[in-house]
Amino acid sequence: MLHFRFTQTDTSITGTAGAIAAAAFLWAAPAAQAETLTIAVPSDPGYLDPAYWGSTVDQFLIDNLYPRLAKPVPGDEWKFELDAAESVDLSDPLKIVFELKQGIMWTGGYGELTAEDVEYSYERHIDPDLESGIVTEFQYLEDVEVTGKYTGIIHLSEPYAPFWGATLTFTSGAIISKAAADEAGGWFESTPVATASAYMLKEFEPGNKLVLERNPAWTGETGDFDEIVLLPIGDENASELAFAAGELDYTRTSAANYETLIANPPAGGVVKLAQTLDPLFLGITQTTELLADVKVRRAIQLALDIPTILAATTGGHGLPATGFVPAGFPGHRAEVTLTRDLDQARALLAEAGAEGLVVRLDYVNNTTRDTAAQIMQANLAEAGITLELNGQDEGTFWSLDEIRAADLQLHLKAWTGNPEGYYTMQYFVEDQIGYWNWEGYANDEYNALLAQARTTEDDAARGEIYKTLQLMLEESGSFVFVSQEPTVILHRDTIIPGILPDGRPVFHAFKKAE
Amino acid sequence: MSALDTSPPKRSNAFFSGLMRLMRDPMGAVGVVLVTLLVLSALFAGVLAPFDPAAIDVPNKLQSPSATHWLGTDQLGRDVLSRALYGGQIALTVALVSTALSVGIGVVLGMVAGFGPRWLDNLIVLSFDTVRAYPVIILALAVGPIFGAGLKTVIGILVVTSIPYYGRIVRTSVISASKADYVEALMAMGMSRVRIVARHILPNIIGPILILASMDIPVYIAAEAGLSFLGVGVKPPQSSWGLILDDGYKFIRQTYWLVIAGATPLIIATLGFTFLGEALRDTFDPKLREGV
Amino acid sequence: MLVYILKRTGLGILVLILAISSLYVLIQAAPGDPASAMLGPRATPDLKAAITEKLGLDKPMPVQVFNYLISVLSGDLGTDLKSKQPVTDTLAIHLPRTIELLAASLFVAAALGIPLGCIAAVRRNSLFDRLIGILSVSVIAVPAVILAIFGMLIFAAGLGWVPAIGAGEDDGLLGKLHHLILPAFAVGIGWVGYLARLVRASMIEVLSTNFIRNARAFGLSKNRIIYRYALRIAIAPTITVIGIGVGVMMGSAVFVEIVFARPGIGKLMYEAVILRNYPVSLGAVLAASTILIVATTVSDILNAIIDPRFMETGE
Repeated sequence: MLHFRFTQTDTSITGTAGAIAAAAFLWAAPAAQAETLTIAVPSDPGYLDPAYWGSTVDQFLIDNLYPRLAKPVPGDEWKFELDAAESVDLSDPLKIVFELKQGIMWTGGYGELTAEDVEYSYERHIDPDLESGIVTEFQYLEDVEVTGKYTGIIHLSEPYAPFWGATLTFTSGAIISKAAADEAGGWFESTPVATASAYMLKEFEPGNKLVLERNPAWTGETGDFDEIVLLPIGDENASELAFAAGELDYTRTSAANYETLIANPPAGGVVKLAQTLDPLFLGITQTTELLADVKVRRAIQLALDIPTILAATTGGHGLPATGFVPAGFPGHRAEVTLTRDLDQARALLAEAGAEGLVVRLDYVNNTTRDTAAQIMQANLAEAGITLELNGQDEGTFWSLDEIRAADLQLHLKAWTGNPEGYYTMQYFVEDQIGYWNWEGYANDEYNALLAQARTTEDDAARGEIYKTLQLMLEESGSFVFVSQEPTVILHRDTIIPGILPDGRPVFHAFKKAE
Repeated sequence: MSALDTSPPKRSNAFFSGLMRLMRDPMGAVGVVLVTLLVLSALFAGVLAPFDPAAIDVPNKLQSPSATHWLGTDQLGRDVLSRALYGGQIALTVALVSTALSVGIGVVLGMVAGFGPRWLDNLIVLSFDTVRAYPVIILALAVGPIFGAGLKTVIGILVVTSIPYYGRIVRTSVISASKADYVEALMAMGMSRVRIVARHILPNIIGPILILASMDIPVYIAAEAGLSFLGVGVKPPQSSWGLILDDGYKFIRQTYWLVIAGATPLIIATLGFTFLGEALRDTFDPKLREGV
Repeated sequence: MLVYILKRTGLGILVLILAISSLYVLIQAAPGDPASAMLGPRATPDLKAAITEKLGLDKPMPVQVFNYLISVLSGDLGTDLKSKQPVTDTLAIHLPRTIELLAASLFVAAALGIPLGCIAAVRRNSLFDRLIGILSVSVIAVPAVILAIFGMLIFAAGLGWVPAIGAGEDDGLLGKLHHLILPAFAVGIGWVGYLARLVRASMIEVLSTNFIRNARAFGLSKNRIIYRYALRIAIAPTITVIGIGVGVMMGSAVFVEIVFARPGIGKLMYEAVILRNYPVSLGAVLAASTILIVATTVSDILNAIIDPRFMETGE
């Protein structure tokens, strides 16, 4: 086998070619500078405004650039620590009382972070004019009362158990500068107006690189690197290649490659497997005429061979998804309820009069998804359905305009996971059609149960409701749960990366190895 | 023109004597052998391929060559040899259809331009120049998705961008031929322009044009593979050498067989047709060499 | 001659205008609504109407084409839908990288092709000559995508002599050159054979002219004749084939840029296409076509200067 530093058995190649080339190339590859950390990311960011974040790159840049009241700590287990907040009181289900740390400065001369910024950052999501993509997460926010320069109270209109754990401490809880956002006209796109964290944006050349530099005004914890260079490399295998060639310090890659990597790691590379919380699922849009008949959707569900897809894309390291709640959390369903049944799929199609169906599958175009998509294509072909594959860039895939919203058919996607099932399942409501409810699922009974889950404080009881909700989603024919996505992290042995339990990088926690 | 000229036995003799002349040139011989192999393997892909080229077998993915899978398997466990054989069908289809269409349309437009009214000539030449202003691969990338990636789009782009090449050559030949004494004499005799072109000029230029066209076949084959590699050509579940190459590039850290399996037939095809074209030209029309 | 140069330049400009216009029409005819694509999640009907009006997309096609041409003239190629920055800014990052690559490839082709052709001509019909003949035909035939992948595989990923990705923007001149070696070889190697054959043919022609025979008769050394006089004359026609070559080389550059993740017009196009980022596609094709038209126009004019017969047929 060929690997990236030729092994002993390959010396013949090295020998001949080496002799010819030694004279031609007088200087060796420049050694990676220790002060710069080079990371591969799947795409350019689309939006660095927390109101519109969509792709994974948007997410971890927002996580790394803006403060939140509290945030998760890098490590192997989920733990949270206060970030911009000095103290938080969560004892009242309708109130979150906070006090901010003093002296957190916005970049660009926008002054100090104050309670007014918190008020602005959260209340803007419920302003209908902003059309915030995360309005759902803030729908029970009454207002933010500013009680002092650094103090305030977040008022909720109804009890909302997951608000703190699933929203405020996650990406959507990002705090932005009121003064800077006002100056930008209330919203902005891929150029953040003011940030406050260990690193700040230095330059952004779309399609080429995005560079973060140390924020000189930052007084909190900071990493060992002066600059962090993010290179957009869409394909995991291409970034693995770049890593093997010594040009990246850190990258994620497909779990399907885990065995190869462990057996033959790139020189100076450390290989880690991380289990993300991210559910990978196939959405089947029921508001499209083609897929309006539940029998057609059920036929698609029954035609798919999920175990084969898992074997091909994760090398068996992916846990089969049973729903939207990851293993080990309240509401996780123990069993996979859908199993392949081609005869029934064909029968349902015939019943619906949908033989010869041609549908399109949208997905993010990387090797793993492309592999899954091609298996789905073959699976559906066996049931007599033609699947057209439409792989897209991550940015394009997640940006949903009216035209695309009206044209959704099948979409294979991974959502940001969350220990709390509510976080994901709150989006499958009628108001979210055209935003995140690509499946077009709408069901009053579901809504009622969802509200019940929101106000149920007892974990076990809430978990039981989650199980029912997931079953309802599956039985609608609009959802096929594929896997809880594993990921492989590759990093140089000269660095100690700061990684959240689900594999996302935390820049200020990246250190040089001793 | 006597009936004897077109009688079948003589024509086949001409074919064989031509082939023998071609085979005397070592490059020509290699070209003939490679192209024959390629055409036969594509024609009989259905018989030769040991497996269904789209049959997925994940437990046996990314295998090295073995007695069962002579060229190993890809990331979905599909038999690479079968995919390469069917890829040959696609490559040859693209090459032959594109050549036929662009030569056909190019010859007609070139003759119209060369022998038609001045304004029409100018119009055609200007449109030729406009099309030639686009770099082919870059144009294909830009407009491919508009028409939807696939075989038809690939052929369409190759044809549109090749027409000016043949058109201009035909036009120049027609213009210089129309200055010949015999053509002027025929016109004086009252023979129609269309008839003169069809009967007297076309037969003189079609030979060299076909030789030039044969030299373009490898270009089309490479273009199809390239566009499929870029994702704007042939789409799965169809098979193409470009797609195999793309898979190979993506899984290069797992196996290098895929890249080899995609590259080898592509190199054989482009080399075979290039050698054949060069030999055809050197054997039957050495004059053309100066123009290249 | 001056008239020809003016006419040829005028034709070049006319062709460029036609090429841009037809491409604009083609791309605007594509499905999808630029206003929605630009606005993303904020695409309310009012905002969309406003943007459509602002971009002039509600006007009849001929007016749109005219307006687009005018804005191109004033250096405005529209807005990159992804970065929301002017397309000219995006092109300003990528275009120089592609021009560098093309120039380096031409250099590789010339630096190897001219000497090889020269030797082949001097040692006509020798084994070396035949070997060059076969090699040049073979190398032309190998698609650039294969050269790029195998080059990357063996020299960058395998042996680690040259970097595998990028253009080395931050590494200074040496770093940039280092990043350029492999891509330039991948694009230029096919043209080594092409140039070698051209130089060989024209060298043989020059060596058989009276001028050279006279020089020999005057007792000038063979090497001096070949390298001081004959080569200089023989190289001239090869300069003019650049026009033909640039279009093909740009195609090769697309693959090379993608395989090596090297910024440039090809990679930009590839990404713009996946994104349906039409202003960038349009701008990139425009830039590529401009390079091509300038190259063909210049090479036609050079051809005419070297060989006035060329003016008549243009072939």
